[in-house]
Amino acid sequence: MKQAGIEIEKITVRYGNSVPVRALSLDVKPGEFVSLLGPSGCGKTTTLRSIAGFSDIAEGDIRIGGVSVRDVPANKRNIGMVYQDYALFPHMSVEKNIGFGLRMRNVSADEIRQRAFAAAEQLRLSGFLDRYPQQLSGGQQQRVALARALVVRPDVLLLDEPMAALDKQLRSDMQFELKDLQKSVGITTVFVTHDQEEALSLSDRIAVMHDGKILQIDKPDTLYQFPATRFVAEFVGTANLFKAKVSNVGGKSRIELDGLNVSIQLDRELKAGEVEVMLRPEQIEFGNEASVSLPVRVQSTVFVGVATRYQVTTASRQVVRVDVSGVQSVRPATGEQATISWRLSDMRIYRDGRLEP
Amino acid sequence: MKAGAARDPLTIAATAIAFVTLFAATFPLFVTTITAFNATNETVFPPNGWSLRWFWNIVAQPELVEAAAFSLVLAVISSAISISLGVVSAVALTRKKFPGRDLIDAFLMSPLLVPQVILGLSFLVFFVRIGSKQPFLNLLLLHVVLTFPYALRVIRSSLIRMNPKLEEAAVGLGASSLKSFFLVTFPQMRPSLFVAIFFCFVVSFDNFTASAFLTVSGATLPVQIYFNIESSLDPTISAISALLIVSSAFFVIVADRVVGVEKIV
Ligand SMILES: Nc1ncnc2c1ncn2[C@@H]1O[C@H](COP(=O)(O)OP(=O)(O)O)[C@@H](O)[C@H]1O
Ligand SMILES: [Mg+2]
Repeated sequence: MKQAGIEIEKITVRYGNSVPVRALSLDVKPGEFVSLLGPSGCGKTTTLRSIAGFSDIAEGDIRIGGVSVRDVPANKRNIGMVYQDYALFPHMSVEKNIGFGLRMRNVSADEIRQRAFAAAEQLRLSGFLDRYPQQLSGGQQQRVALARALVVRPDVLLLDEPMAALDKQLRSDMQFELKDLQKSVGITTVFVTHDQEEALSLSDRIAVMHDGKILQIDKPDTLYQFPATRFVAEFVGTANLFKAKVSNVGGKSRIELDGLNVSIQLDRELKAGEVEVMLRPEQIEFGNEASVSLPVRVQSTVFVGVATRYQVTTASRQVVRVDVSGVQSVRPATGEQATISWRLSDMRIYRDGRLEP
Repeated sequence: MKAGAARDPLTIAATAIAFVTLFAATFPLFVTTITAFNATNETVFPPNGWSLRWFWNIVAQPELVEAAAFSLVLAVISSAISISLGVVSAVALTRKKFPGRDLIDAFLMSPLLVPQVILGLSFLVFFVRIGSKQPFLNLLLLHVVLTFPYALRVIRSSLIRMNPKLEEAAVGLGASSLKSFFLVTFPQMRPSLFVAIFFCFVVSFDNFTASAFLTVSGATLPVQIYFNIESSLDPTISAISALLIVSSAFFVIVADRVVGVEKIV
């Protein structure tokens, strides 16, 4: 399959007074799987629809395979799209649904049949070609939608929250299947979701969106470990945030956590002032082995299989979440006093909501 | 329904009301149908003996046959026009955005609210004023105005219920907007078109009040029936009514088989 990259250059979309997409730029490399992740209403769908040609861009440009599509109407863009509700044609059989795009491209009836069969085979739909969409399960409908989008050999594949309607077990199966399919076909893919776990598990890179803009685009592990802003830290994974103050004495920086008698000597120099310290729940442990420690009281525990999730409160009554995985042995009970600690290198420091380098 | 549910007082009351209403609505139709089989020339119930003579007598009264044919042609043509206009307007009103859309929407539905007497009278005044000598065209225009809101309402609601993403999906797969309409939108409108045809036909074929104002010669069937009972009260009228009742029932049953009666109402 030929692979086309997508270059989005400072696009703005306006609907009357609302501006759902603001000077947004995004490069998707050929064959790459990029997720647009963000809360509901942040402009993910609008961005996807402007790639597909359904939302007019007021400013900026979009290039697919190096060619500007600004003036190319939606039906000439050669894009495969999968909707949250799949948007299958209810009056057409599965075979007719899958073949629709080829029919629009004036492919011969024989070839449509062959290619629809092949696509159905690839997506394990061979036994269902004569059925109608209403007669299929959610997972099968989704595979029909995928087959219908891919059979035309589009330049790019766009998916708008395709898993949202599936139950949890099926969703995780379909995630693996989608990822395999995408890699084997090698198609450039933009995937919209508000589910951070889904984005983390599927994507080559994730673009976190907020208010019509991309806040950060990175590989899933980088995004998780080095969130560029406080918003990203809180939206992707769980974030424990402590208000704190930086002071400089003799060329060395110290951080004092507000309301707690904790002073942390840093190994680098920071500007003095108010900051926030962020830690992931699994980076905090019970005991005082790690470099920073403070006393807490255990408020509640929840066992979630891979870990035990603790809520503990500090002396300043702030709630802190701590995840203890199977291998760690210190497990205080609810109501007990305990000490939590973490390593200096796991701390992320935010000033005015932005990560300190 | 659960066994216990049938005994709750609300269900019993609702069922009773439904039966009484059904009886009150159908009893006169039943009586009319039976009187058509009278052996004598009096329209009485129960009949004084049985015969089919009044059904044959319909054919012997050319003005009734002509009026029936006239009404049929009028209903078919006015329904066809209303439904074509209804499809175009419903698509525009539900799929396009333009200034004043809601106002136009309300305006197009409004003939349903205008009393028939006023509608008939204003058409009469209008045609007299422009000096129209075309009774059929006058009635046709009136019937288009009468039936169009029904066509629009039925077709419009089917378009509102339809998922607009389907049309977008078709365009995304390479369809022009015309192809998307004919291959995706139109096939899903089909049940609503049957319903619209049914409504328009019945509204046109049955209309008396407004049509009476425009009837000079060449009356519609309801108007002709009215003229006839003014002069004679023999059971011929019952016979033609019986035919109308039976054919209406037949249409309702066919429509139910094709689209399901719950979609009609
Ligand atoms: N066709 C439209 N007309 C007016 N406003 C719209 C339209 N589509 C989207 N919006 C607005 O744009 C914003 C972003 O919407 P959307 O892109 O659907 O967000 P997301 O997919 O991230 O939930 C929302 O506030 C929404 O109300
Ligand atoms: Mg959305």
